[in-house]
Amino acid sequence: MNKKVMVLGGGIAGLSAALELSKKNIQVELVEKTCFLGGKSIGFTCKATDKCQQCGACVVEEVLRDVVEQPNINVHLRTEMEQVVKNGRFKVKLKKSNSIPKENQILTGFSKYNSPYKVVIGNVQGSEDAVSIDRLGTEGELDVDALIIATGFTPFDPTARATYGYKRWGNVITALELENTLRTEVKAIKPSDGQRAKKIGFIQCVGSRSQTFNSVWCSEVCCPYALRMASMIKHKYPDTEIWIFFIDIQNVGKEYSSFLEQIKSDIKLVTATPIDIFPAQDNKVKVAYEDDIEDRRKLEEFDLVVLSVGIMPNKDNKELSKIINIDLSEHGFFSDIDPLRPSLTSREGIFLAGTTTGPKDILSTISHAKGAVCETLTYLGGKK
Amino acid sequence: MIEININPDVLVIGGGVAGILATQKIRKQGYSVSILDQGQGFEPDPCYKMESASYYSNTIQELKKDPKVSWLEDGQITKVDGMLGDFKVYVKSNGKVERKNFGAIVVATPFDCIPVFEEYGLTPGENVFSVNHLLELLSENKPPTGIAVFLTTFQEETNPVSFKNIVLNAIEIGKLGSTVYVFVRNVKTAAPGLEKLILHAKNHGVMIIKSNKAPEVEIKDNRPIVTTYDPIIKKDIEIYADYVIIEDKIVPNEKNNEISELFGIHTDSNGFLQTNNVRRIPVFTNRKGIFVVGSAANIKPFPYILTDAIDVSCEIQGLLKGGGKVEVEETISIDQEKCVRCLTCYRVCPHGAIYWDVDRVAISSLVCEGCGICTAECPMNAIQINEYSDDKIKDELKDILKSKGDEPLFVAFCCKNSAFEAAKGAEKQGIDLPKGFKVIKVPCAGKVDVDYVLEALVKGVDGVIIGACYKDNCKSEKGNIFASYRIAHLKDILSQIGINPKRVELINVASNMPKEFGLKLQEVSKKIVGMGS
Ligand SMILES: Cc1cc2nc3c(=O)[nH]c(=O)nc-3n(C[C@H](O)[C@H](O)[C@H](O)COP(=O)(O)OP(=O)(O)OC[C@H]3O[C@@H](n4cnc5c(N)ncnc54)[C@H](O)[C@@H]3O)c2cc1C
Ligand code: SF4
Ligand code: SF4
Ligand code: SF4
Ligand code: SF4
Repeated sequence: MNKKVMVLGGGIAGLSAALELSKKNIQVELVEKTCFLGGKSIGFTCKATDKCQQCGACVVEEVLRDVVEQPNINVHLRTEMEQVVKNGRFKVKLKKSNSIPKENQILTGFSKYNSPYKVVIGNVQGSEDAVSIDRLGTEGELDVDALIIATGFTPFDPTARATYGYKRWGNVITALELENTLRTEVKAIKPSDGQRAKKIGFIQCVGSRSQTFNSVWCSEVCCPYALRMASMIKHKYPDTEIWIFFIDIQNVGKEYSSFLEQIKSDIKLVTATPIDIFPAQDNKVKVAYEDDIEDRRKLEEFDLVVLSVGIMPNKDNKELSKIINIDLSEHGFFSDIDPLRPSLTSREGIFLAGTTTGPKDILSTISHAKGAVCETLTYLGGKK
Repeated sequence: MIEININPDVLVIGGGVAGILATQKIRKQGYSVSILDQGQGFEPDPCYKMESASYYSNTIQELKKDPKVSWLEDGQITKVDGMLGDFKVYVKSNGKVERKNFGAIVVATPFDCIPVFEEYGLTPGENVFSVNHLLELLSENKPPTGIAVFLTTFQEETNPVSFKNIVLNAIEIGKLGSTVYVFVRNVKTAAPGLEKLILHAKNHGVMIIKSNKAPEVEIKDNRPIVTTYDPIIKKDIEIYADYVIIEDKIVPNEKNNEISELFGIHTDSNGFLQTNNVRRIPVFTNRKGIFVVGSAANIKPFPYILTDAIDVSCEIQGLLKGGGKVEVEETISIDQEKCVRCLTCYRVCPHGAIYWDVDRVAISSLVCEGCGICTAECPMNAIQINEYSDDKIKDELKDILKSKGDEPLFVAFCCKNSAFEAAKGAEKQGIDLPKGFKVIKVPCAGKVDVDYVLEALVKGVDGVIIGACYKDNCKSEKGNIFASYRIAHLKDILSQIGINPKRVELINVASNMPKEFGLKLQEVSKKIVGMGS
């Protein structure tokens, strides 16, 4: 068929789309803004206890391996789209991304399949095995037959909830940071001293389900990831005490009722939205919350507080929307036009995959991306 | 190369939302479809009726005009033979059994609904009924009016599909003049657009009341009185309702078990036709060419059913490729001279790739996933996978033994889907591994033959590790379980022949956890080194 498709974004949505396309003998130009493939989910931890908890993280590693092995996928790291012109096909102008840190440092990826695995900016010692940033990035024009937008989401930035003290009190971290530490260190670590946290509090719905932040949606993934990480930590280190503050617990996995029943014996579940987080002695942090049953304000001290940040629209969406000339939904995601065909956009030949259309977990992202490829193939087939 | 003939017709089982949408998408790919309803009729599943009724009727109308769609109404499957490309399905309809051939099969059985009257000690009646019954009243234009109380299940957790349906109904009868309360323990909002819908309902007067304990219902003078503790005003409240509407609990279709047996596809613990395993997502079963969509696989919000339907149509296109003759490379074979026809391989194959061919046992290379479970279980060692033959693995072992120096030597048989990836990652990221650690790649932990391990230990390897996926994460469902049985058995043998059984250990690890693999290996190797000889 000799067709060419550009996939924008190298997270699990983009990787799955690229892989499916290349299996159908389509040449893929995979464009990723950062220096690494895999998006957020390549940095996630396995959450198995004595059995797999179906979090999907290991699948991302596998898809990345398969993408790297495909000869007909051309990867452009540290690259962004500047302009798209439709002239029968699409003429896409690419530029080097300048959203890379300026300071001298070594950036490391999470996977061995991040090719390269280490990237060096400027002059840093111990960077012999790293690739220089200057060697990454594509500039120029490419002609492609279709485009798949898979630019993903931006996690909620908890500095916007000032009373939670993120970035002010050392031992308040986001769930994304916890995912990454569990993957690389296999234990929950306090940033203050690098030691294992023995008492951990998770706060749910940070940024989601909020009229204040104009985010009237449930992020769908944070109850599952928090509860699964909590049970994984508890399984590995039974001496850990874990609390979860929530509004409504969402279902986790297929066996959700029994899962929740079981977890209640290990983990303290508190229905409350914490008001305030402040520092206490020995680098501990205190969470102030309203106890509904006793009707009074209560305090609880933790070694580590984890903010379960939600899925927000990608910060680039506004700009991207102008470049590709497709409107955003009222919430700022790229929405789909035909509810019966969830990957279509208002422009023929441009398709959507993954969390760019709204919250999704890894596995739903993969199936959404496969659907996008299916639509793309139909489009290419009809356009001989 | 073997030549196989692929039948380009597809069977879809189930006439609910998922079945109809899958049929539409598969038709778009050019395949003829037979759609079988097992007596539930061609109707949208009750839980999706509110949001899908119009799509459903439009799609049915479109398909009714399509001569390449056949409708098998009220059919019953009595027998299934064959495999991918050539399934033979015997369908009983109107009293007679007919054989039909298909290249691929899509199972789209709708949910069953069980209203939870018992949980509240209620019996259905004029002012106590289920959400489904309310739907009927609405469609007959006989909406009840007054004070309505929706009661969800508190014995278990409810789910976003059922809850969305309740909210849609609550909005509807609210519009028609009822005062509406909904009682729920956890508001299930994790589905596209649901949080917004819930907000909309609240803004339109639907009172959603959260409680940790189920409300109590008493019928007095033919009027239901609902009593509950209100955590916001902090006291018991009583609602004199005109009617209470009970949640329909979603359960897997009662026919699923039958289908599971007929088609040899595994169920999960709930009875859905897809195991609880990330490797089956989105539409796969343990058998190539048999797919599941929508409510047959799990409780899925409506938009995900659409995605399933689209995905399955492309997966079918990928497998059938329009039908006709295809050439398949022989990847696995049985040495008929060695085979004693014990059928062990047939019983253990998780993918249904082994069959009886006139007078001998045969394997379809088209269907085989290459896990190697059969090769390790065959008592005669009659089966070989070309890529991972016994000879190749034993040669690798020999090479490793040659490298033995003064350091202790550890050999890990690592599953290519998990431990092998983790080991490669550990190497690349410079993670500490035991000195003298060597890896042999296997397609699945279920491939590791007791012979391999014994040979390694007898010839001087200090410790053998089997690196496997976690339970419920094996691509071949049970490879890791076979591995653990074999190791238990092997440990017995080792004690009898005077080798410390602790020299063999099984480690579970995921592909993305090189550091964890490193830590687990260190632990095992320290024990073995500490043991001396
Ligand atoms: C804390 C946290 C934990 C989670 N844990 C789980 C879990 O355990 N299990 C689960 O199933 N899901 C989990 N999720 C959800 C999961 O992260 C998403 O399902 C998944 O990452 C979506 O993949 P994606 O490819 O759509 O988006 P992303 O992962 O966001 O990938 C998008 C990619 O596009 C690139 N990109 C962005 N903008 C541009 C641009 N303008 N040009 C070029 N490239 C661009 C990005 O750099 C990135 O590589 C979690 C989410 C969070 C926030
Ligand atoms: S818990 Fe997650 S990462 Fe671990 S094996 Fe299961 S799906 Fe894979
Ligand atoms: S998944 Fe849980 S934590 Fe996340 S937004 Fe929904 S309710 Fe809140
Ligand atoms: S297990 Fe071996 S001996 Fe038994 S039928 Fe299969 S191939 Fe033949
Ligand atoms: S290798 Fe696995 S899939 Fe193939 S025939 Fe043997 S048991 Fe079945």
